[in-house]
Amino acid sequence: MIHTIQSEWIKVRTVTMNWVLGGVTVALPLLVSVLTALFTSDDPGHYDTRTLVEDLVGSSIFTGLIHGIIATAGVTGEFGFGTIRPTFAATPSRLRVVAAKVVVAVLTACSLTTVVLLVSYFASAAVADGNGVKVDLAEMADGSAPLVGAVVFAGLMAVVGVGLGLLVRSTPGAVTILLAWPLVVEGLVGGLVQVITSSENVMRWFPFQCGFRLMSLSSEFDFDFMDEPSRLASGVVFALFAVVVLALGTLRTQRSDA
Amino acid sequence: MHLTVEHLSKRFGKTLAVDDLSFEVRPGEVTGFLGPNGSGKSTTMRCMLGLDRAETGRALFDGRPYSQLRTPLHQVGALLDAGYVHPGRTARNHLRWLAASNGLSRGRVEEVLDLVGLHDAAGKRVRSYSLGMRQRLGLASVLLGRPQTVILDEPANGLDPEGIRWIRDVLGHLAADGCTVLVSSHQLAEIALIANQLVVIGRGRLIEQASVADFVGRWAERWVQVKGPALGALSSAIVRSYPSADVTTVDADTLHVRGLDCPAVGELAAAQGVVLHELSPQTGSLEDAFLKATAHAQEYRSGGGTAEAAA
Repeated sequence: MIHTIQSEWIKVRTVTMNWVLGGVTVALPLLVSVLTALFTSDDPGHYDTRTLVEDLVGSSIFTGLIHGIIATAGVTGEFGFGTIRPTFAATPSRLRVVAAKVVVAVLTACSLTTVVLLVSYFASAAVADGNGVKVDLAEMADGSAPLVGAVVFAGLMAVVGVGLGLLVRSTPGAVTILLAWPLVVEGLVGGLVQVITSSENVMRWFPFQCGFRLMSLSSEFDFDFMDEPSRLASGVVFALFAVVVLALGTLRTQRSDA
Repeated sequence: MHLTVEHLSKRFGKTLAVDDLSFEVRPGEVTGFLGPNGSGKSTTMRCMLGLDRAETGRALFDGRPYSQLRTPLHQVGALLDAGYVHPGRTARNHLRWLAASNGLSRGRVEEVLDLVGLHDAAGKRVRSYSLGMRQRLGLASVLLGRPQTVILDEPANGLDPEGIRWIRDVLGHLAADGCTVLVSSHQLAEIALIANQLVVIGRGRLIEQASVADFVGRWAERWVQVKGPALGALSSAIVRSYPSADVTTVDADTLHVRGLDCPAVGELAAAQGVVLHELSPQTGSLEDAFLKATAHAQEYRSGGGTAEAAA
C-alpha cells in the first residue's frame, strides 16, 4: 500500500495545475486575513479575534472547494489522458489505487489547510499587534472549533472530489458538479422545496450546507435540531455524504472497463 | 513465463469484440499477434491485463491471473498505447510514479531512460515529444521492472528506421534471454523479421496459431519462376502436358508457373531442349498470407480503387 501511496503522491506533485491551485489555497486565506488586519485593526472597535476567525473561515469555504477540485481533477485527468490504464496495470487492485488516492488527497488537503490557517492566524495577529490590537484565540469561546472544522471540511471535500471523479470521469463535468451543487443547486432546490411544502429551512440538512456549518461561528454545539443542526451532527451528515459519493465512485471503478 | 489465454470473450453493447479466443504464448519466442483493424487485438490485450472486464474466459501468467500479481511490473511489461501519459508531466516523473508503484528505485528509472535514448530529453514535458519519443518512453516503462513477459501493441508505430531496428534487437534479446514476448503490429514485414510464432485473429476469433514459416507455407501463394532466352516452346509444352497448370508470361525472359513444382518444369524444359537461366520455387510474403487468411474477417475494407485513382 505504501508504494501505491508514494506513486499517487508523485502524480499529485508533478502536475503544474496542482501547484497553481495549491498556491491559491495558500494565498487566499493569508491575503484576506492579513489585509483585513492591516487595514481595519487600527480601529479597535472594528477588529478582534472573531473578525480574524471569520476571515479565515470565510476563505476556507473556497479553499475547501479548491481542494475538492484538485482531488477530482487528479482522478478525471487519469481517465482523460489514459494514465488510468498504466495505473491499473501497475497496481491491479483497484481498491488499493482508490484508497491511495483518498489518502493522498485527504492528507494534502488537511495538512495544507492546517499550515495555511496557522500561518495566516499568526501573521494577522502580528499585524494587528502592530496596530495595538491583541488577538488571542483562547479568549474566544470555542474559537478554535470553526478552524478545526475548516480542516475537516477540506479533508471531506477531498474525499467528495475523488469519489465524484471516479463517478463522472470527466473533468468539466466533475468540476461543474462540485461547484454548482454547493453554490447554486442546494440554494435553488432548498428555496423551491420551502415554497412548495411551506416547511422551514429544509436546506439545513443538505450535504454541503452541513459541510459549511462545520466552520460556523454562530451555532457552536447548539443541539437544537428544530433550528440548526450542531457542528457535530452537520459533520456526520457531510461525512456520510462524502462516503456515499466515494462508495458509488468505487463501485463504478470496480465494475467498469478502465 | 507461460502465457495462456483461455476462452476469452468480450462484448461492447451488441458487438462481440472477442469471441471465445484461446491461444498460448511460449517463453523464449517472439509471438506476433496479427489481425485486421477491429479484429479485437487491443481488446484482448486489455482483457489479459484486467483493464477490460472479460465476460468469459481468462488469461493466465504461469497459471495466475494478472490481478493476482502483487507487483506486476516485475513480471509483465505492457505497452498498450504510447499516448497514455499526462502531457504536462516530464518523462522522468512519469517513470518515477510507475517505478514507485512497484517499489522500483529512481536509479532504475535513469537506467531505462539511458536504455531507450531519452536521457537528455527526460526533463522535458511529454507534450513536446514526438510520437517516436513517446513510443520510446512507453518502452522504457515496459523495461522498468525487468519483466519476464512483454506485451506490446504496435510498438514500432511512429519510430524512425533506427528506432525500428532498435526495438527489433531489444525484442530479439528479450526472447533469447527466455522472455515471453507478444507483439501486435500492422507492419507485417517487421513481424516477419522478428517473430517466430504467430497468433492470427479475425472478428475476435482465432484464425490460426502457427510458426511464421508454417503460416506462410499454408496461406501464401507458391509458384515456380523460370528464366531463359527463349521460353515459348516451354510455355506451350506446359499447357499441353499439364492443362491444370497456370503459366504467366511476366516478360520476354520470365515465366511464372503455378500448379507445378520445379522438377516437373525442369524435366519438361530438358525434353524440349529449352535453355534455362533460372528455375526457382517462389513463395508469397507474410503480407500475402495474412491477407489471404483474413480475407473473410476484414471488418474495414478499402473500396477496391487503385492507387492512381486515390492520387
